Amino acid sequence: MVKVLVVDDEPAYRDSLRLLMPCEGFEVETAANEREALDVSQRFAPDVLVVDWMLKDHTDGLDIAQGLRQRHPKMQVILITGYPTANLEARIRSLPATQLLTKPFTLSRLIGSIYAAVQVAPSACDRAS
Amino acid sequence: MISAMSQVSELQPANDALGQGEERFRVAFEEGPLGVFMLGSDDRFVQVNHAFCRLLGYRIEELDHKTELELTHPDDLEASLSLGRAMQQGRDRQAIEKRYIRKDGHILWVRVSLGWVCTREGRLLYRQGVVEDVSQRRRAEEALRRAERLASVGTLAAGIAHEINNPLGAIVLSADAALLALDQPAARGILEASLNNIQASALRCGRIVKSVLQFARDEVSQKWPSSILDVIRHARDMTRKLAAEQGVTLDLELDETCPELVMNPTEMEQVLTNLISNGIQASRPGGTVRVRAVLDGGGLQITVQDHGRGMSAEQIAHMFDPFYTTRVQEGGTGLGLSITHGIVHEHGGTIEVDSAAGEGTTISVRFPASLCK
Repeated sequence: MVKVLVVDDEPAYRDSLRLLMPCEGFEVETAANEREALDVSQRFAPDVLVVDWMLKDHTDGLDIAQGLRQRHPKMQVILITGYPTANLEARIRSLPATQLLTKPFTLSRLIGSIYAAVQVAPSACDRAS
Repeated sequence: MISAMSQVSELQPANDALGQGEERFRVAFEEGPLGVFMLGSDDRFVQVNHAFCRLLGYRIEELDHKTELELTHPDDLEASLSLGRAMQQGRDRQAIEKRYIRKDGHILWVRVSLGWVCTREGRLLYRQGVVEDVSQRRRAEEALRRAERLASVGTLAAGIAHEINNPLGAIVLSADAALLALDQPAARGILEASLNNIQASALRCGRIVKSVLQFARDEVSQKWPSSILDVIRHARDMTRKLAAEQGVTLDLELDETCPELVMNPTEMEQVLTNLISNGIQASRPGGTVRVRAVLDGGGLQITVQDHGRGMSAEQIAHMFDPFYTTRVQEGGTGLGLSITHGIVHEHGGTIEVDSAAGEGTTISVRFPASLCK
């Protein structure tokens, strides 16, 4: 089963995705900030990280992704944001295994992005199969 | 009839040397780059130079019997009249930037400097006006203001996109969860939680839109002398329920000799309500939010003090930034203090913050003596 870690400071995202993802066949954990994400990732090795770009505590989601990647090098990243700037898009293009998903998005759009992510990650595919 | 250089008896040259000086003066007057006019006691033109005629698009004879006010834009009449009154009271040169309406109907921004021309004996003869075309500078300033405005609109738009798309996304995902729960009779709790999420997120969108509209409002509000103490008491009443819910006491220390303040009472009440609400929300149960109003060197100082969680240096640095909030979970839009800051500055006041993490916050709002009546 593909393991997804969702990091977002909006409880509605965490609550909804915690409910919805298992129904779609994913194993999901959620975190509200970087510290929680690091804690969770010690016992839960995510195949895919779904992380908000700009958290309210001014943490950059890409920094969280970079920190987690040191522990989980094959982890795929889906950065979610309500405001995709041209600079951000350029940054994403230059990063390995990282996609951008603009809010608002439907569950099916997110799931599509997750499948697209794990298909290019052999280890994640192995686990998914 | 007026002319480009009609002679005035009191200024007639006394000899040849003076005559040469007069000739130099005539050339400077007639051919100089600045518009020059002389006004008689009936406000009509006595003399004008070519540059003035060129600026306004009139021939010299067309200005005959016209008053300077007839050329002035209607919106600048009041300022021109008040300059005229100031001229009657003293002999210093007075200047004004205002608009003339040219003969072709176009508006011309000018700087008019007015001074008295006197006889050697000191008798007031004419008012002399020197007119400089400042329309190019005005256009440049307007272009700069427009560029700054567009830049701030861009910043605001980015903030709105981020702030609105977040709850919109929560609505979409919660609707997905609700639809899923519909098929599962046992999932009533999920359905309820999802619908609650949808409602809370939609209300949040509404709050953000309302705050943005208020933040972006461009008009200057009407202001009149009004009791600041009444405004503070009313703000206290508006925040009483919140204080009771949080177990916080509101304490007013009002100097009853405080004069009236020239303000918009509705906006000022919003300032006080915002500051008191923030103080309450930062306080621990059992805490006190103290509001003081005192005279301070002729001006007025209002402080709102709490002994709550206080702010870090970084939080203080960002506290007036649009969309900056540490209370997103409680529905903060991050625009309350931006709006507060805008209102205080628009009123001519200043706002200062003294805070330390864990020790509480004191916000001081000061208004100068010129606003106290």
